[in-house]
Formats: sequence, structure tokens, C-alpha cells
Amino acid sequence: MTPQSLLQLTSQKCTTGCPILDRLLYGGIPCDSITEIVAESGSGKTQICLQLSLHAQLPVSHGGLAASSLYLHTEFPFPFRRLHQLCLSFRSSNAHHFPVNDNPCDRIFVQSVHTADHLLEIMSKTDPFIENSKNQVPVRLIVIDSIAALFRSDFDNTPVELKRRSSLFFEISSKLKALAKRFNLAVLVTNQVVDLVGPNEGINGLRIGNLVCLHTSGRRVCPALGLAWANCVNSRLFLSRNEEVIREENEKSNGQSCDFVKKKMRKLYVVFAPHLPESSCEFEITREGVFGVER
Amino acid sequence: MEQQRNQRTVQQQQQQEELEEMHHGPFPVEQLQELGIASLDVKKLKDAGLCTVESIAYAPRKDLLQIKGISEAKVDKIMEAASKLVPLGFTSASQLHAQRLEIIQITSGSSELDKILEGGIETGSITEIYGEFRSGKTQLCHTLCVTCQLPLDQGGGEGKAMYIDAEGTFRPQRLLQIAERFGLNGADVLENVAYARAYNTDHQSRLLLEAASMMVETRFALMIVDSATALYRTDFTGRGELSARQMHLAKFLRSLQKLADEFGVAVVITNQVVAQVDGSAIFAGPQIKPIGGNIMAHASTTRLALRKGRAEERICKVISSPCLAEAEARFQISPGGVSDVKD
Repeated sequence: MTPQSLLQLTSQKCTTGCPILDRLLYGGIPCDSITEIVAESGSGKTQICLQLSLHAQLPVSHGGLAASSLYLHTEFPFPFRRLHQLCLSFRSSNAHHFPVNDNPCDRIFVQSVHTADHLLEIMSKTDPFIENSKNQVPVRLIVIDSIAALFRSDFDNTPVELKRRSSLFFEISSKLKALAKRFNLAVLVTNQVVDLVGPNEGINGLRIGNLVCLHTSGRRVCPALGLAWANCVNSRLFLSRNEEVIREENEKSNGQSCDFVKKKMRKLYVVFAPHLPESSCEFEITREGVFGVER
Repeated sequence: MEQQRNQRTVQQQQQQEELEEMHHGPFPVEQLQELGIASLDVKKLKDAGLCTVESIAYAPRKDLLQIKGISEAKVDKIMEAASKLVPLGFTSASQLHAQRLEIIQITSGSSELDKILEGGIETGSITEIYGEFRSGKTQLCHTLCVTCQLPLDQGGGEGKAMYIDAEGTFRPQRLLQIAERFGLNGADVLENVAYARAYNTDHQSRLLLEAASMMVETRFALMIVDSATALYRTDFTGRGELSARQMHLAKFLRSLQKLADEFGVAVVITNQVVAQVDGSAIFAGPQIKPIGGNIMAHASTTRLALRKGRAEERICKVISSPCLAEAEARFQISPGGVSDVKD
């Protein structure tokens, strides 16, 4: 066994479809590592996952992986209508890459997952599946949306169950990392949040390891699944949404007046990643997908 | 050689899946008897609430081990037989989309409301409706009980309705009034609604087991839980019991999701709200928010917020949905249930 030459180790990245978000992520979601997106419900996790599975099909020269993707979903139902909507706008803006009668949805494989044991079973089946796909369009992206739903209801709050839960985390993440390494896949996982209840300063304040303060919708939150899972992922991104009041200048017939308007502010933060500095950027969700906003 | 063999098994799987597509609806658990499982074991599975082969294939092994009278060896045998009937291979999104185009949407009675819901309440997923008292939640539920029985071309679901009542607000007389509006026979409409009153949270969860066995036998289009969270506010009190409450709620919602996915019913749950009494939060953030925390938020696919307008008018807003844009619609409560605002 010879050591790999570091000069030849470049990590390929998959574009997210928006140049502003790509700039924040230094190119996109990296291959051969597990990236986690944490957010409360309704912040846009599934939107980003769908967008990524479409853009992975772009050729490598345009930032994609020229690959099909495997989408494992644990929360029913799978948003087919939204995927169809995104597919239409993806096709129209990238028409020169695809032949006329081609449907990008053909290259997204969807599988519903019901329990953690079911997920392990599926992962043992993905090995031959990815091996086979090398003949047509290879699978280079696995999305698990969301990993938290598998664990939040099936385990009681006793030490024995929690230990079993942690061992499942390590088993699943090691299998994912082995798959990612073997086939050079990008793995994207989404996670939910839990609220932090209690004083957040002083000796009795709540601190969970080195986890930073995350705020969304005016509440302090913490990613679900605890410290054990935080060690299983390579990078973590956090999406927050807040209702902010801004002044808007309106030109009216009787002179200028300003209104207080409630606007939804969505931000993407890099919480930790081996190759990214701590940074953030604003984004919005439109009919065409998720796009960053320059202010 | 290995690749050829793998390709052949993928082809076999595809063929099996094509055969599977001819069969509509879930497999009843009696089918396992053909694969060598004793009828006594099948009865025990049914009593435990596992009425379809799909539910056995998706259940974690420890749940099956907990059923009295089924040994470990038998559990393995049952799981093997179930996985033979329910293929767990991969299909592409476009194939599944073609299957899912047949999703039925149940009209809510008001065309404005249907417009922002892009057709109506979707089957196969959980819709959460929250709002203060007198905002129209129970009225909407009663209307849906009747519209789900309408034929498909009139926007209905052509199926029965199931109503789990935790607050004691169900009124059969109201159903009769709404049935008159749609021209349906009142007695038949009442016959097609299965009603149960839940007295505590454990009872509420047990009712779902019975619901599963009923759904295998006849076609249900709608299941209403009104309200899903009322009993949790009384059974679990204080911060010390918060985690126990959320675990129980998570299990309940997960079983509801399984029901919706397995049987293709529309699940509608109503939720209560809590007022936020922070004086400083005049502009920042809403003043009322739904209870249940993050567990509830993540379990429901579509969230609708209702509030009262002038007189009989009500306003519904789509708060969170993977496919719908945020929009508001006005509707009215009339003797015939939920209907459009008459200007």
C-alpha cells in the first residue's frame, strides 16, 4: 500500500446552481465527504437538495458531476410537484447540455426510508447499484433528507436506547464515508433542530461542547441528534429564517412616505467545514429555485 | 461475470416491479400465509396493528420482537417473507412521478382556498391547520368529511372519512346541513364517517392501530384528528415532562405518516396555538404560534394558519409547504360549510 501523493488529491465540487452560493462554498458541495444542512422546518433544506440533484447532472466543465443522484427521503411524501417545477426551469436554462426529449428526472433515483435499520439495509444494496450505474450515467451524489426523522421517534430517552442510537450514527456514517471514498461521491444529509430552553449565560448557562449559538425565527436552536452525530459529518451548513422589519421608501402622490414592511430574511451560514472560513450569505427561494442575494 | 449477474438481478427486480405495478393498494397481511407463515402468527400480527405486508417490511425488528408469542426465529422468517412481497429496489423520479400523477386532491368547499392549495387537500400527506379558537378549524374539518365522499370529478375523494375527536366538538347535525348543500343523502354521509372519541394520549395512539385494520378493508379518503395536541397539554405538564411529551408526540405523528403513506389517505390535523407574551416583541415575530415545537413542524407536510376576518369571513394562509407558494385566501363559513366569500 503506497501513500497517495497529495499533489494529485483535488476534491471535485458539485455546483449548487447559484454563483453566489458557490462562491460562499468555494465551488459547491465537495465530493468524498459528508455535508450536513441543519435548519428548522420550512427553511429550504429540501429545496437545496432537489436543486443539487438536478445540477449534479451538468457536465464537469460547468461545475456539475455529469452524474445521476440517489435521493433517500424519510419524510413523506416526496415533493414530486416541486421537483417537476424545478426540472422545467433547469431544462430551459441549460437546454444546450441536454438532448430535446431528455428528462433530468430520469437520473434521480428516489427511495423512501422508514427506519434506521431500513437505511442500513438500503446502503448495503447501493454498493451493487452504484457499481452497475457506471455503465450508464454513474451515481455521484447521495442525498438523505432527512436523517433526523429516522431517529427522533423510534428511540426512548433512556441511556440504553441513546447508546444504541449513537452506535447507529457511527455505523451509518462510516458506511456513507466508505461509499463516498470508494466511488468518489458527494453526500448531502439534512438535519432538524431542537430548541434550547434555559438561560444561556453564566455558570448554569447551556453550553453543548463548542457548538456556536444558532438563531432562527427569534429562537435559540441547536442541531438535533447531539454531539455524536456532529462528529460524524465533515461540514455543517445552517439555514436560518427570520422575519425582519425594514423601512421601505414609497413614493406616493402626496410626497414620500415610508412603510414598515415585514420581510422574510433567509441566511446560509457555514458552521464548520475543513475547507471553509466561517461566513454567511443571504438567499431567497423563488419558483426557479434557491438563489443567493447580493446586498 | 459479476457484473452480468448483477445486471440480471436488476432486470429481475425490474420485472418484479412491473408485476407489482399491476397490483393497486397495499398487500393485506393474509398474503404472507401463501409464503408459509402460520395463520395464528398472522392473526397475532394483525392484533398488533400490522395489517399490511408493507407495514411489516418497514417495521424495525425490535417492534416485531415485542409482539407476544412470536419468537426470534419466527420474526426472521416473517421479515424474509415480507421483503419478498415488497420489493425494495430503486426507481427513478420520473417513473414515480408518473405513478404519483394520480394523487387525488380533496376540495375544501371554497374555490379560492382550493386555488392557493393548487387543487385541494392532498392525499398521502399530513396537513396541519392551526389557529385561535373560532377561526374555523372544526368547520373546515366537517366540510372535508363531506367533500371527501364526493365523486372524483366533483373534486372529492370517493372514500370514507375517519374522525378522531379529542375535544368533543363533533356535530353530526352539521354534517347533515353540509350534505344538503352538495346534494348528498344525509343518512349515507353519516354512515360513511367513522367517529371515535379519544380520552387520553395513549388512547389516541391506540386508535391508530384500529384505524389501520379498518383501512385495509374499505377505502378511506380522509382522516381527521381534531385536535392532535389538545390531550398533550393536559397529560403532560411542566418542563420536566417536556421530553416525554415530545417523544410521545413524535411516535404518534410517525404512525400518522405511515398511515398516510401506506393507504394514500389525506391526514388533516388541527393544532392549538399559544400566545407569546413578550412585551418587546411587537414587530419581531408572530404573536401567536402553534404548539408542538419542532417535532410538529417537521412532521406536517403542509401548514395552514387560519384567522378570523370580518363577520363570517375567515382568512387562510399557507405557512409552509414544499410545493406551494405562501399565499392567502379568504373564505366564508355558511350553513353549507366552508364556501367562497359572497361579495
